[in-house]
Amino acid sequence: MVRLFKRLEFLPIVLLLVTVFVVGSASPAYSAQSEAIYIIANNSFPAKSLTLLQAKRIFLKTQTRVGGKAVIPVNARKDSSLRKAFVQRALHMSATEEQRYWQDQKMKAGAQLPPEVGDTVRAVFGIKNGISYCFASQYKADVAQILLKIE
Amino acid sequence: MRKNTGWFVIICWMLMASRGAAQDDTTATDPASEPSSVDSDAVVDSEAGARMNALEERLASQEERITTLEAERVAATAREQEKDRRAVELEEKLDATQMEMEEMSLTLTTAPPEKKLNIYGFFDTTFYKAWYQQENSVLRSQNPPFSTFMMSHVNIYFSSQMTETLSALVETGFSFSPNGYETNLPVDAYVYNEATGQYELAPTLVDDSEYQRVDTTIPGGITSSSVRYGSVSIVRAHLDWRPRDWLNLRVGQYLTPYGIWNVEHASTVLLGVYYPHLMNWDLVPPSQLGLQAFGDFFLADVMQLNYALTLSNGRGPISSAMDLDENKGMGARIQTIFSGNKWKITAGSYGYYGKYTDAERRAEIYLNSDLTRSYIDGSPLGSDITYLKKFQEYIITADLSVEVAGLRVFGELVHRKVHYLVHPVMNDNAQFVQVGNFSDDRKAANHYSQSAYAIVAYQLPISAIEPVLITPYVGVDWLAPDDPLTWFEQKTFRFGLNVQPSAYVAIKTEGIIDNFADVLGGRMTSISAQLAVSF
Repeated sequence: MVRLFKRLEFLPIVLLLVTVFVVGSASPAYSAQSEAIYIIANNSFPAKSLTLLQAKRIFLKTQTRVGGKAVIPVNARKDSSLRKAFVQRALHMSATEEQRYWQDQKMKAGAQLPPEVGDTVRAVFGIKNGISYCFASQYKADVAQILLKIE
Repeated sequence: MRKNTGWFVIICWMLMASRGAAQDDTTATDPASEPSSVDSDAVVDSEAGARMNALEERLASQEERITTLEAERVAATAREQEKDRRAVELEEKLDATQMEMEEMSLTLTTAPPEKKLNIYGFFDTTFYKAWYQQENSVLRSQNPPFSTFMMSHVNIYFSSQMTETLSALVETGFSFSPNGYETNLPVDAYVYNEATGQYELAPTLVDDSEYQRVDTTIPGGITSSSVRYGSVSIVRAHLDWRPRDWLNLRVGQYLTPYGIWNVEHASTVLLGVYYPHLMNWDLVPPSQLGLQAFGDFFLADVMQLNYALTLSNGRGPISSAMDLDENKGMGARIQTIFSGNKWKITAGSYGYYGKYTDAERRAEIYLNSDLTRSYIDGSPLGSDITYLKKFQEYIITADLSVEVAGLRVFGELVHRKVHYLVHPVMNDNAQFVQVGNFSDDRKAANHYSQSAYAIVAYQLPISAIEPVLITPYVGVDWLAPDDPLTWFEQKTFRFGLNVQPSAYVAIKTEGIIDNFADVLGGRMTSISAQLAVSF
C-alpha cells in the first residue's frame, strides 16, 4: 500500500482533484432570494420555538415528533423560490442534493418526502401540528406562529 | 353653496332692477320730443348696456361654476357609495375565507392520513473484467474468468403509510437466479512426475463430486422460443408501528441494523460497485426474520442517540421459513450522531449472538415384531430430529462516518467468532477429525473472522454543472475469514468515480487490486462499471 502511494502514478490524479476543487470553489455560489424566511407552525404545534438543527431534522424526517406529538412537515413547491431558499439556508443543501437525499431515503428505509403545497401559510393554518416555512413578506399574523427566523 | 345662492339672488335682483329702470327710462322719455338730450342719453344707455353685459357674463360664469360644483358633489357621493359597497363586499369575502379555512382545518385534523400505496424500485447493470496474475489462478474458479455483463438487482418496493403511526414496507428482488448457479466444482489432482518433469492427472485422487450448474431454460410454448425463468426473493417485508420517537416496533423480515453498507443497501445509494468483504462473506446476517424495537433520543441539539434491539430466528439454512432450534438470534445496536449545519459524525456498533442449526426432521413408526402397530409407548407414531450442523456465533461490529463539506470518510469493522457444537467432520468428543475441503466446509474448525474497510470520498464542489454530482473515492478493504487459515487473508485497494447525472441515476466506475496469498493465485486486478437506476 505504502509502495503504491509512493509511486508518482497518483500525482496526476491528485493534481486533477486539486484543480477541480479550486475551479469549483471559484464558481458562483447558488443564489437564492435573500429575504428572511420564517419557520411557521400551526397554533397547535407543541413548541413555541425551534433551533435550526431541530427544524432541519423535522424537514428531513429524522425527527418526527416534538414534545411527544407527531408533527407534519409541509414543503413549498419544488420549483418555487421559497423552497430553493429554504433548502439552501435551512438544510444547507442544493436542490439536487435534497432530491438525492429523498430518493436515497426511499431506497434505504421506505421514507416518503413531505407533501408540497403552493401556499404554505394556508396549509399550516389547516394542519394540526403542521410546520412549514414562508418568506417574511408572506407571513400573516394570527394564521400561524413563528418558530424561527432564518436570515 | 348658500353663499353662492345668495350672490345669485342679489345679482338677479340687480339685473332685473337695472332692466326695469332702463325700460322705465325708455317708455318715459320720447327721443323725438326731447332731441336735445339724445346724446347724453345714448352715453348713459351705452354704459348701462356694458354693465349689463358684464353682469350677464358674471352670471353665466356663476351658473357654470354652480353646475360644476353640483356635478362634483354627485360624483363624491357616488364614490362614497362605491367605497361602502366594496368594504361590505371585502368583509363578506373575508368571512367566507375564514369559514372555508376553519372548515379545512377541521377536515384535516379529523381525517386519517391518506392511505396510499407507493411503488418504486431500483436496478443495476454491471460490466466486469478481471485479470489474474497467474494464468491458472484458482481464483478463476471463484470469479468470472472472462469479461461479462451482470445484473445483480431488480428490486421493487411497495410501501404504505396506513395511519399516523402504522406503515408497511415490502421489498422484493427479482433475479435471474438460479440460472447459472454452480455447485460442486470438481477438483482435479495433478501429481508432479519427476521423470517427465511435468504434472500428470492422478485419477484416483480426483474429486468425484458431480459438477452441477442450474439451467432454467425451458421451451416457451407455442412460439418455440426458449424462456429462462428466474426467481423472486423477499428482501424485506415488515410492519412498523411508531408511537414514539424513542420506541418503535418492527415485525417481519428486516435488514439487520448494522454498519453503513447494509443500511444504505440500494445500488443507487451505495458509493461503489463492489461490496466490502464483510458483506460478501456474510459475516453478519444481512437480514433477519423476527422483531425489532428501535428509537431515537435527542439528547442535545447536536447529539442524537439511536438504538435497536433485534430478536429473530437468527441464521439458519431455512431461517426465513422457520427456525430449527429454540435458540433465537439476539442483537443490540447503538449509534450516536453528532451533527451541525455542515458536518455530521456518526459512530455505531452492533452486537449479535445466535446459534446456527441445520437439522433433519424424521417421522417414525413403531411396529411390533409381527409388523403391526406398536402401542407400547402410547402411540405407534413419533418423530426425531437429527442435527447435522450446529454452531454458535458471536459478532461485534463498529462503524464510523465523518462528513464535512463534501468530504466523507467512513468505514466498518466486523469481528466474528464461530464455535461449533455439531459438525459433519466432528467426532463424538467434539474434535475435528479433518479440516474441511475447499468448498463447503472451508471454515470447519472453530475460528474467528475479521474484516474492515475504509473509504474516503469527496463530492466535487462544482456548482456550475448542477445537477450532476461527481464523487471520486479511494479505499482499502481487508479480510481474514478464517484465522487458522492465514493464507486466506485478502487485502484490497479500490478507487473509483461515482457520477450522478440526476437523482435517479448513478454511473460508477471502479478499479480493484486484490492481493491474495500466492497459494491462491497472488494478485487479481479488476475493473467494473455500473449503471444504477432508481425509479
